[in-house]
Amino acid sequence: MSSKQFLRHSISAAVIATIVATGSALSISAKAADGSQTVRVGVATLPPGKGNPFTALGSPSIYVWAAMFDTLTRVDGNGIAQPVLAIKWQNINPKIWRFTLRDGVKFSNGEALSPDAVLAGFNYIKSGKAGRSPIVRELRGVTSAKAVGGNAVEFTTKRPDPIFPNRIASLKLVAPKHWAAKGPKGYAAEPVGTGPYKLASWAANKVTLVANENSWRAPKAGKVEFIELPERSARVQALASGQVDIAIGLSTDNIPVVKGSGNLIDVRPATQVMSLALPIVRKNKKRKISPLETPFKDARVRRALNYAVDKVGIAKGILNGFAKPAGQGATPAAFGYNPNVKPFPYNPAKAKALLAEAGYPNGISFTAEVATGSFPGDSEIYQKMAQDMAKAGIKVTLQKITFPNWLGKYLGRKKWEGQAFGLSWNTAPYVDSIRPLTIFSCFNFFTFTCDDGVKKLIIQANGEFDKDKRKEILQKIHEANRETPPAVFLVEQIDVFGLSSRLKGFVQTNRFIDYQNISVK
Amino acid sequence: MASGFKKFGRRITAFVVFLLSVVTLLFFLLQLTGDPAEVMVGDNATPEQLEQVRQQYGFDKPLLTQYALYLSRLAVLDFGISFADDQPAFGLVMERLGPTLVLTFLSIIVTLFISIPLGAWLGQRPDANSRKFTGAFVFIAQGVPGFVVGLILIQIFSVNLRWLPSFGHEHPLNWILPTLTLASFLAPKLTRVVAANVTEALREDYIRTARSFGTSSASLLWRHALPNALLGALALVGAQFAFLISGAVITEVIFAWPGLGWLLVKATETLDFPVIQAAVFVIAILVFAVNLCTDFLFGVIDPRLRGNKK
Repeated sequence: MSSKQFLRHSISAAVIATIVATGSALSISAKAADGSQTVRVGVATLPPGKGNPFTALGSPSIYVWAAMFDTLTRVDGNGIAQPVLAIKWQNINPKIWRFTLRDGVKFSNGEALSPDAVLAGFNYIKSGKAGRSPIVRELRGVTSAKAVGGNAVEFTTKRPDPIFPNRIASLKLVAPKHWAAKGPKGYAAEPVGTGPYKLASWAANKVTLVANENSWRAPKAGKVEFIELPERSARVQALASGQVDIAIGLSTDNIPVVKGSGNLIDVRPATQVMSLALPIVRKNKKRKISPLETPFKDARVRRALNYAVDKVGIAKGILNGFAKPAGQGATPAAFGYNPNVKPFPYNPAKAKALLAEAGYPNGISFTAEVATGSFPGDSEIYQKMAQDMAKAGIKVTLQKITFPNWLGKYLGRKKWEGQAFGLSWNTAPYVDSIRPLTIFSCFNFFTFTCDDGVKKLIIQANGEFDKDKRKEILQKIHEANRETPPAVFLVEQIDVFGLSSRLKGFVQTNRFIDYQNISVK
Repeated sequence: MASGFKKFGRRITAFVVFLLSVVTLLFFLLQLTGDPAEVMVGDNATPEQLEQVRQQYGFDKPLLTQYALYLSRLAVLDFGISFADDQPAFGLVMERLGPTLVLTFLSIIVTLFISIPLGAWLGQRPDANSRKFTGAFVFIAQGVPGFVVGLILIQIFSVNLRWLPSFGHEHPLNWILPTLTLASFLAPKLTRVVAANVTEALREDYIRTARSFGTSSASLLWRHALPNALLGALALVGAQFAFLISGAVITEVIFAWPGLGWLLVKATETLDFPVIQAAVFVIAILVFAVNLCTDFLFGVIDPRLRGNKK
């Protein structure tokens, strides 16, 4: 046999062997063999804490946990708490809230919903053993909880808390006997909830849930599969090829590809506003606030920086018109958002004039440390921001840092090398303006800004139980921040979901997907 | 035989020292990357919460104490609990090792399957037009990043034709695209090495002698030249194997292949020290094993390298 013949035979044999070894080509279909519907969801990452619902808050874990767990309340698209496992709640006195539980609800293991379910999770959060849980921070203003008659639970807060029904939405309910038997680690492997689905299997990159026949919100599809696809383009391709029905965490760049493959796009405002923080104070270890020596201490300079950036251009050019320019530290969905506080218009001439007025006729220069990769287009947004500022005589040197590095500087362990830093104003999980306004104020140990007028308004808002009056106060804070902006507010961020054209009933609010309504045609 | 055992013993001793140096260096270098307590608790942390987490995980102890504890646990392969997943770090790494080894072996096999015959064919008559054209194609292919090939394969076979899945690892159909992606990256290099070695081997005196005795061209190539050519190629295969164990990250990410490379990247991003340490430890052992096997195979292929002295 000549070498030519050998090579030909080798290649043929290889091709045939490959096909035989891997079976016949299969078409990639959604329907399970037994006729049950399976909804497949492509996510960037699965919950690191697996089935322990106290290990994280918000995305990415919420996408999986929304199918398994419920909370007492849930915050709607207007920042108002809605009943879930609590059907009603009352403020007994300024520091006590009573929640009445829904009757007839069962966990997937058959345990009935009772005040013990609330106390199991709450006591764990307060025990000191859940130290790293973000829910510890959200509920640190709550001193105690107890069961009371009438299938109800009472929470006592340290101070009057008008938005407690929103805050308690961060506490997922666990089956108390199962929790007591398994503990946090065991529960992570064998989670039990009241949601429409229960765990069937948890592999390294795939979670399979099956219908929870005990659930009070019965699902339509028999199964949900969550597939970990870290790469965004992989999620897009999986959707385009029909291998997933929902692709989470896409970018506006992916929209033409998704639509071109005959699928649909769902774009919703996220709860975050992207900004560049302009630090003017720092707290030392003795919690004493000291002002920083920086051009930003003059509010005219901070306003100038806001005028210098073309936010409309960013929203249209980089986020393809799906996002909106930001003028305040909250999005329209958040309670207390002020629709009258508009984004600073792009006006480089006015920026220059303000700088000159403040004593900087030749402009200023500073370094901004930013961590990117969290939002669609964030890297490009910061670069465009720097380019725009340069036209107004503001020279910005962007320094990209990793998120752990950013955290170390933000939490005060390391010093910022620059004079400004990237920052997200996030109203989640309780979708109320008070959250970022308080975190980025004199009250927080790691603050970068402190305004006494804003501080007084925050105290007022925290004690005001009348919703309309409270909204007014929060809106005043946003107005005040317009006058003396603590940051350059850039854009209201967005969440982009890719949906299969076969999908029915998809609804999501603040990243909580109502899985019980979803089915595939 | 005795000298063989001695040599092996020396290799093992050297490896243990090397491994100890690696884990020590890694332990101290990781401390410079950041505070894992901050990453765990997040940006809304209070100083009290940070302190609590540091105490819970032992970060508040003096560094040398932490190192001593770390070494004592290392002896029983206890790398601690993953900061991100709250699962035993070593268990997480071992869970990912299987898929990594599957992908590695498949890729190497396919690469050998392509490279050896193609390299032999190219090296046999490098001046022939057909060889020149093919050789140029291989040269260009070497410059194409593997992940580009992967994305193209997905577009063609998953999105357009819907013949093959683009992610997952449970079914043999899932193995095809990632294997071809990695092979597209490895094969051109190996093909060129084999081709060059074959060309050189065919110019040797022993080949001329064999030819003068009437040995056929095919026999000259496959029985005489190729085994000598494979010596050089074998070293490259060993290096590629070692690379694949931890370096196929991009392929793992594109195809959602739950391998060691992606685990290591995620652990690095979240400062998950136990997982980083466990992964690097396992990778170091595997690379050592691969080098050992490569050296052994050298001896099998070339008796001159067996170290026997008369």
